Amino acid sequence: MIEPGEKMMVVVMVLSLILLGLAGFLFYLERRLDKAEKKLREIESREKDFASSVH
Amino acid sequence: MEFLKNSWWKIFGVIILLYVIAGGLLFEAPQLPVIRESVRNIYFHVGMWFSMMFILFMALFFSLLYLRYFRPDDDLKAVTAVKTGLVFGTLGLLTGMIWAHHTWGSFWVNDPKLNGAAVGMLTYLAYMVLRGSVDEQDKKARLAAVYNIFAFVLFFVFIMILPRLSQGSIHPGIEGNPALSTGDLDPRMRKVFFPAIAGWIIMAWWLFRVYFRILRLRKNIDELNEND
Repeated sequence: MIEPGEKMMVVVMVLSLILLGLAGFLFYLERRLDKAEKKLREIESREKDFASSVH
Repeated sequence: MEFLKNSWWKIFGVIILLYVIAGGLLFEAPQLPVIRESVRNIYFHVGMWFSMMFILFMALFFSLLYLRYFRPDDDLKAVTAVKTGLVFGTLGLLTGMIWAHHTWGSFWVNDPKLNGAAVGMLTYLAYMVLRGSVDEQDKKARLAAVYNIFAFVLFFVFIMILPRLSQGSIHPGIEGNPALSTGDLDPRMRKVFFPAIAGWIIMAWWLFRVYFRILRLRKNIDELNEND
Protein backbone atom coordinates (compact mmCIF):
# COMPACT_ATOMS: atom_id res chain seq x y z
CA MET A 1 0.00 0.00 0.00
CA ILE A 2 1.21 3.49 -0.82
CA GLU A 3 0.74 5.99 2.04
CA PRO A 4 -0.87 9.43 1.23
CA GLY A 5 2.48 11.17 1.87
CA GLU A 6 4.23 8.81 -0.54
CA LYS A 7 1.51 9.40 -3.13
CA MET A 8 2.19 13.15 -2.92
CA MET A 9 5.91 12.46 -3.43
CA VAL A 10 5.10 10.44 -6.56
CA VAL A 11 2.93 13.31 -7.89
CA VAL A 12 5.72 15.81 -7.13
CA MET A 13 8.24 13.62 -8.97
CA VAL A 14 5.96 13.15 -12.00
CA LEU A 15 5.13 16.89 -12.26
CA SER A 16 8.80 17.81 -11.81
CA LEU A 17 9.81 15.38 -14.56
CA ILE A 18 7.15 16.85 -16.89
CA LEU A 19 8.44 20.38 -16.15
CA LEU A 20 12.08 19.37 -16.68
CA GLY A 21 11.11 17.59 -19.90
CA LEU A 22 9.31 20.71 -21.16
CA ALA A 23 12.27 22.93 -20.20
CA GLY A 24 14.70 20.56 -21.93
CA PHE A 25 12.53 20.55 -25.04
CA LEU A 26 12.40 24.37 -25.08
CA PHE A 27 16.21 24.59 -24.75
CA TYR A 28 16.56 22.07 -27.59
CA LEU A 29 14.16 24.10 -29.76
CA GLU A 30 16.08 27.29 -29.02
CA ARG A 31 19.35 25.66 -30.05
CA ARG A 32 17.77 24.48 -33.31
CA LEU A 33 16.32 27.97 -33.85
CA ASP A 34 19.74 29.59 -33.28
CA LYS A 35 21.23 27.38 -35.98
CA ALA A 36 18.34 27.89 -38.41
CA GLU A 37 18.36 31.68 -37.96
CA LYS A 38 22.13 31.78 -38.50
CA LYS A 39 21.78 29.72 -41.69
CA LEU A 40 18.98 31.96 -42.95
CA ARG A 41 21.06 35.09 -42.32
CA GLU A 42 23.92 33.53 -44.31
CA ILE A 43 21.62 32.70 -47.23
CA GLU A 44 20.15 36.21 -47.19
CA SER A 45 23.57 37.89 -47.17
CA ARG A 46 24.78 35.54 -49.96
CA GLU A 47 21.73 36.47 -52.05
CA LYS A 48 22.34 40.17 -51.41
CA ASP A 49 25.98 39.82 -52.48
CA PHE A 50 24.91 37.93 -55.60
CA ALA A 51 22.27 40.55 -56.48
CA SER A 52 24.72 43.43 -56.03
CA SER A 53 27.38 41.66 -58.15
CA VAL A 54 24.85 41.11 -61.00
CA HIS A 55 23.86 44.79 -60.96
CA MET B 1 29.07 31.15 -20.46
CA GLU B 2 27.09 32.53 -23.38
CA PHE B 3 24.36 30.00 -22.58
CA LEU B 4 24.14 31.15 -18.94
CA LYS B 5 24.13 34.80 -19.98
CA ASN B 6 21.13 34.23 -22.28
CA SER B 7 19.32 31.63 -20.24
CA TRP B 8 19.73 32.55 -16.56
CA TRP B 9 16.13 33.76 -16.26
CA LYS B 10 14.80 30.58 -17.87
CA ILE B 11 16.79 28.39 -15.46
CA PHE B 12 15.60 30.66 -12.63
CA GLY B 13 11.99 30.18 -13.77
CA VAL B 14 12.36 26.39 -13.89
CA ILE B 15 13.92 26.34 -10.38
CA ILE B 16 11.04 28.50 -9.07
CA LEU B 17 8.46 26.16 -10.60
CA LEU B 18 10.23 23.09 -9.19
CA TYR B 19 10.01 24.78 -5.78
CA VAL B 20 6.33 25.56 -6.41
CA ILE B 21 5.55 21.94 -7.34
CA ALA B 22 7.41 20.54 -4.31
CA GLY B 23 6.35 23.25 -1.83
CA GLY B 24 2.83 23.47 -3.20
CA LEU B 25 2.16 19.79 -2.73
CA LEU B 26 4.27 19.00 0.34
CA PHE B 27 4.29 22.13 2.54
CA GLU B 28 1.65 22.60 5.21
CA ALA B 29 -1.63 24.04 3.95
CA PRO B 30 -4.71 25.18 5.91
CA GLN B 31 -7.35 22.49 6.30
CA LEU B 32 -10.49 24.29 5.17
CA PRO B 33 -13.89 22.60 5.11
CA VAL B 34 -15.01 21.29 1.70
CA ILE B 35 -11.86 22.56 -0.09
CA ARG B 36 -9.44 20.50 2.06
CA GLU B 37 -6.23 19.53 0.22
CA SER B 38 -7.52 20.89 -3.11
CA VAL B 39 -6.58 24.37 -1.82
CA ARG B 40 -3.09 23.56 -3.16
CA ASN B 41 -4.48 23.95 -6.67
CA ILE B 42 -4.35 27.73 -6.11
CA TYR B 43 -0.61 27.67 -7.01
CA PHE B 44 -1.46 26.26 -10.43
CA HIS B 45 -4.93 27.59 -11.28
CA VAL B 46 -4.35 31.22 -10.21
CA GLY B 47 -0.73 31.16 -11.45
CA MET B 48 -1.87 30.16 -14.93
CA TRP B 49 -4.57 32.84 -15.02
CA PHE B 50 -2.07 35.50 -13.96
CA SER B 51 0.33 34.36 -16.70
CA MET B 52 -2.50 34.48 -19.21
CA MET B 53 -3.41 38.03 -18.15
CA PHE B 54 0.24 39.10 -18.35
CA ILE B 55 0.75 37.63 -21.80
CA LEU B 56 -2.58 39.03 -23.09
CA PHE B 57 -1.50 42.44 -21.80
CA MET B 58 1.72 42.00 -23.81
CA ALA B 59 -0.43 41.13 -26.85
CA LEU B 60 -2.27 44.42 -26.36
CA PHE B 61 1.06 46.25 -26.04
CA PHE B 62 2.37 44.72 -29.30
CA SER B 63 -0.89 45.54 -31.09
CA LEU B 64 -0.57 49.16 -29.97
CA LEU B 65 3.06 49.17 -31.15
CA TYR B 66 1.92 47.80 -34.52
CA LEU B 67 -0.70 50.53 -34.89
CA ARG B 68 1.98 53.14 -34.05
CA TYR B 69 4.88 51.93 -36.27
CA PHE B 70 3.31 49.30 -38.62
CA ARG B 71 6.18 46.87 -38.10
CA PRO B 72 5.16 43.33 -39.23
CA ASP B 73 7.14 41.79 -36.34
CA ASP B 74 4.89 43.57 -33.80
CA ASP B 75 1.82 42.00 -35.40
CA LEU B 76 3.52 38.59 -35.28
CA LYS B 77 4.38 39.16 -31.61
CA ALA B 78 0.76 40.10 -30.87
CA VAL B 79 -0.68 36.97 -32.48
CA THR B 80 1.96 34.79 -30.78
CA ALA B 81 1.10 36.35 -27.41
CA VAL B 82 -2.62 35.74 -27.96
CA LYS B 83 -1.96 32.08 -28.84
CA THR B 84 0.27 31.66 -25.76
CA GLY B 85 -2.40 33.38 -23.66
CA LEU B 86 -5.01 30.96 -24.98
CA VAL B 87 -2.81 28.00 -23.98
CA PHE B 88 -2.48 29.33 -20.43
CA GLY B 89 -6.17 30.28 -20.36
CA THR B 90 -7.11 26.72 -21.34
CA LEU B 91 -4.82 25.32 -18.64
CA GLY B 92 -6.38 27.77 -16.15
CA LEU B 93 -9.87 26.64 -17.15
CA LEU B 94 -8.92 22.94 -16.87
CA THR B 95 -7.31 23.33 -13.43
CA GLY B 96 -10.37 25.38 -12.40
CA MET B 97 -12.75 22.68 -13.65
CA ILE B 98 -10.89 19.99 -11.69
CA TRP B 99 -11.08 22.21 -8.60
CA ALA B 100 -14.78 22.89 -9.16
CA HIS B 101 -15.43 19.14 -9.48
CA HIS B 102 -13.86 18.54 -6.05
CA THR B 103 -15.49 21.45 -4.22
CA TRP B 104 -18.78 22.17 -6.01
CA GLY B 105 -19.44 18.64 -7.25
CA SER B 106 -19.49 19.56 -10.92
CA PHE B 107 -16.89 20.45 -13.54
CA TRP B 108 -18.91 23.50 -14.56
CA VAL B 109 -21.54 25.43 -12.62
CA ASN B 110 -23.71 28.24 -13.93
CA ASP B 111 -21.62 30.99 -12.31
CA PRO B 112 -21.04 34.51 -13.68
CA LYS B 113 -17.28 34.23 -13.11
CA LEU B 114 -16.96 30.89 -14.90
CA ASN B 115 -19.25 31.89 -17.75
CA GLY B 116 -17.41 35.21 -18.04
CA ALA B 117 -14.09 33.38 -18.31
CA ALA B 118 -15.47 31.11 -21.04
CA VAL B 119 -16.91 34.05 -23.01
CA GLY B 120 -13.64 35.96 -22.52
CA MET B 121 -11.71 33.06 -24.02
CA LEU B 122 -14.17 32.96 -26.93
CA THR B 123 -13.46 36.66 -27.51
CA TYR B 124 -9.82 35.76 -28.11
CA LEU B 125 -10.73 32.72 -30.23
CA ALA B 126 -12.70 35.19 -32.38
CA TYR B 127 -9.43 37.14 -32.79
CA MET B 128 -7.91 34.04 -34.40
CA VAL B 129 -10.99 33.56 -36.61
CA LEU B 130 -10.80 37.22 -37.68
CA ARG B 131 -7.16 36.82 -38.68
CA GLY B 132 -7.98 33.70 -40.65
CA SER B 133 -10.77 35.42 -42.55
CA VAL B 134 -8.64 38.19 -44.11
CA ASP B 135 -6.12 37.35 -46.84
CA GLU B 136 -4.34 40.67 -47.31
CA GLN B 137 -1.47 40.83 -44.81
CA ASP B 138 -1.59 44.57 -43.98
CA LYS B 139 -5.37 44.64 -43.63
CA LYS B 140 -5.29 41.51 -41.48
CA ALA B 141 -2.67 42.99 -39.16
CA ARG B 142 -4.49 46.34 -38.77
CA LEU B 143 -7.90 44.77 -38.18
CA ALA B 144 -6.45 42.26 -35.72
CA ALA B 145 -4.58 44.98 -33.82
CA VAL B 146 -7.71 47.11 -33.43
CA TYR B 147 -9.81 44.07 -32.46
CA ASN B 148 -7.17 43.05 -29.92
CA ILE B 149 -7.66 46.33 -28.04
CA PHE B 150 -11.42 45.65 -27.80
CA ALA B 151 -10.80 42.00 -26.90
CA PHE B 152 -8.55 42.94 -23.98
CA VAL B 153 -11.08 45.42 -22.58
CA LEU B 154 -13.98 42.97 -23.11
CA PHE B 155 -12.03 40.15 -21.47
CA PHE B 156 -11.63 42.16 -18.27
CA VAL B 157 -15.28 43.21 -18.37
CA PHE B 158 -16.26 39.53 -18.61
CA ILE B 159 -13.96 38.14 -15.93
CA MET B 160 -13.71 41.04 -13.46
CA ILE B 161 -16.50 43.60 -13.78
CA LEU B 162 -19.65 41.65 -14.76
CA PRO B 163 -19.21 38.88 -12.13
CA ARG B 164 -18.87 41.57 -9.42
CA LEU B 165 -21.90 43.48 -10.64
CA SER B 166 -24.02 40.32 -10.75
CA GLN B 167 -23.15 39.56 -7.07
CA GLY B 168 -24.28 35.97 -7.58
CA SER B 169 -20.93 34.29 -7.99
CA ILE B 170 -19.70 31.57 -5.65
CA HIS B 171 -16.16 31.86 -7.02
CA PRO B 172 -13.67 32.91 -4.28
CA GLY B 173 -12.26 36.44 -4.29
CA ILE B 174 -15.20 37.94 -6.14
CA GLU B 175 -15.11 41.14 -4.08
CA GLY B 176 -11.42 41.81 -4.59
CA ASN B 177 -8.50 40.32 -6.44
CA PRO B 178 -8.59 36.54 -5.94
CA ALA B 179 -5.85 35.43 -3.50
CA LEU B 180 -4.27 38.89 -3.42
CA SER B 181 -6.63 40.71 -1.05
CA THR B 182 -5.73 40.79 2.63
CA GLY B 183 -7.28 37.80 4.34
CA ASP B 184 -7.87 35.88 1.09
CA LEU B 185 -4.74 33.80 1.45
CA ASP B 186 -3.38 32.02 4.51
CA PRO B 187 0.09 33.42 5.40
CA ARG B 188 1.51 29.85 5.21
CA MET B 189 0.62 29.73 1.53
CA ARG B 190 2.19 33.05 0.55
CA LYS B 191 5.75 31.66 0.46
CA VAL B 192 4.68 29.39 -2.41
CA PHE B 193 1.91 31.49 -3.98
CA PHE B 194 3.99 34.55 -4.92
CA PRO B 195 6.88 32.51 -6.40
CA ALA B 196 4.22 30.52 -8.31
CA ILE B 197 2.93 33.70 -9.96
CA ALA B 198 6.49 34.70 -10.93
CA GLY B 199 7.40 31.19 -12.13
CA TRP B 200 4.33 30.77 -14.34
CA ILE B 201 4.79 34.26 -15.83
CA ILE B 202 8.44 33.44 -16.67
CA MET B 203 7.32 30.16 -18.26
CA ALA B 204 4.64 31.96 -20.31
CA TRP B 205 7.17 34.55 -21.52
CA TRP B 206 9.66 31.82 -22.46
CA LEU B 207 7.01 29.87 -24.42
CA PHE B 208 5.97 33.11 -26.13
CA ARG B 209 9.55 33.86 -27.18
CA VAL B 210 10.23 30.39 -28.58
CA TYR B 211 6.91 30.33 -30.45
CA PHE B 212 7.53 33.82 -31.84
CA ARG B 213 10.96 32.78 -33.13
CA ILE B 214 9.44 29.71 -34.83
CA LEU B 215 6.73 31.80 -36.54
CA ARG B 216 9.24 34.50 -37.55
CA LEU B 217 11.59 31.91 -39.03
CA ARG B 218 8.74 30.30 -40.96
CA LYS B 219 7.67 33.71 -42.29
CA ASN B 220 11.23 34.62 -43.32
CA ILE B 221 11.69 31.29 -45.12
CA ASP B 222 8.36 31.80 -46.95
CA GLU B 223 9.45 35.30 -48.01
CA LEU B 224 12.80 33.97 -49.20
CA ASN B 225 11.07 31.26 -51.26
CA GLU B 226 8.67 33.80 -52.79
CA ASN B 227 11.58 36.02 -53.85
CA ASP B 228 13.35 33.10 -55.59
